[in-house]
Amino acid sequence: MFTIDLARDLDGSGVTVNALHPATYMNTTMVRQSGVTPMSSVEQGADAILNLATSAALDGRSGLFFNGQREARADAQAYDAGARQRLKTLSLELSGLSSKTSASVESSRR
Amino acid sequence: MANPNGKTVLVTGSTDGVGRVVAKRLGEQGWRVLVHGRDRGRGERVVAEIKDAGGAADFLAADPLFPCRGTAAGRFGAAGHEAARSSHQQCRHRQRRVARDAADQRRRLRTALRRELSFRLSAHASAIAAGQDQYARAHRQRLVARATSDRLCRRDVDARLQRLARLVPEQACPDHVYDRSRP
Repeated sequence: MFTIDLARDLDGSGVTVNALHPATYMNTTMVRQSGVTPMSSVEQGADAILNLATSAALDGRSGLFFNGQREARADAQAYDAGARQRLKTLSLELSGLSSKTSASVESSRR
Repeated sequence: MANPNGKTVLVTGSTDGVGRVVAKRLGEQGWRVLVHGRDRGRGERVVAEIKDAGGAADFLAADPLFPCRGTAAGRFGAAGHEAARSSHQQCRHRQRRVARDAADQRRRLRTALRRELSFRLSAHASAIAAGQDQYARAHRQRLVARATSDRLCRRDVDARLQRLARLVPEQACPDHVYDRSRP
C-alpha cells in the first residue's frame, strides 16, 4: 500500500519503487521456524528480486505490484486512497514519526 | 570482472536467506556490493563468499533500533553524510525523549510507592499502639510485601521498622505481630 503513494511522491526524482511477492514460502530460516514446509527456493526469490532491480524492461516503471516475475494486481484495498491514507497516518503515529506527534511532545517538554 | 556501471549496490538484510543470494548474484555480475545486516559475523562470511567468487564487497552494519548509527556517511559521500546526520539527530531526539519518559515514569512509581508505604507504616504503628494485633499484623505483612518490589524502598522500610521496634514498648507489641529478632 505504501508503494503506490511513495511512487507518486518520488515521481520525477529518478527513483522507482515497486512491491514484490518474491516467491511463496521460500526455504528461509523465518519460514522453517514458523513450522511451514518450504514450497520454493531462495534462488527463485532472488531471481524475482534481481528482475525487479536490474531488468532494463522495467526502467522508469514505478508504483507497481509484482508476483514473482509477473506484474500483477495487488489486494483491492491497496487501490483505495482513503485506506492508504489511514494506514499511513496510523503507522506514523504508532512509530512516533509523525510531525504532529513529535512536535506536540517537544512543545510539552518546554 | 568489470563493474557494469561503476556503481555500488546496497542489499539490505543480506547476511542470510534470499538477501544473501541476491548479494552473491550481484557480486557475480560485477557490482560492488554492500552486504547489510545486524550480524557482523554472518555479514563478513557473505562478503568473503563474494570475494572468493571474484567480486567486490563490504559489510555495512545495521542497528536494529537506531538505523542511523550505521556508517552510511562514510560510504555514500556528502549526500549520505547529510542523510545520516539528520537521521542521527532525529534518533538522538527520540532516544532522549524515551529516556526522559522512562525516568519520569520511575519517579512517579517510586513516589506512589513511598506514599503507600508511609501510610501502611503509620497504620501498622497505630494498630500496635492500640493493641489491635490482627490489624498490626496485616499492615506489616502488606508493608513488607509492597516494599520488596523496590530495593531502595525496602531498605528504607527495614530501617523504619527497626526504629519502630526500639520505640514500641514491649507489652504493646506481642511477638506474633512483631518479630524483634528480624527487623
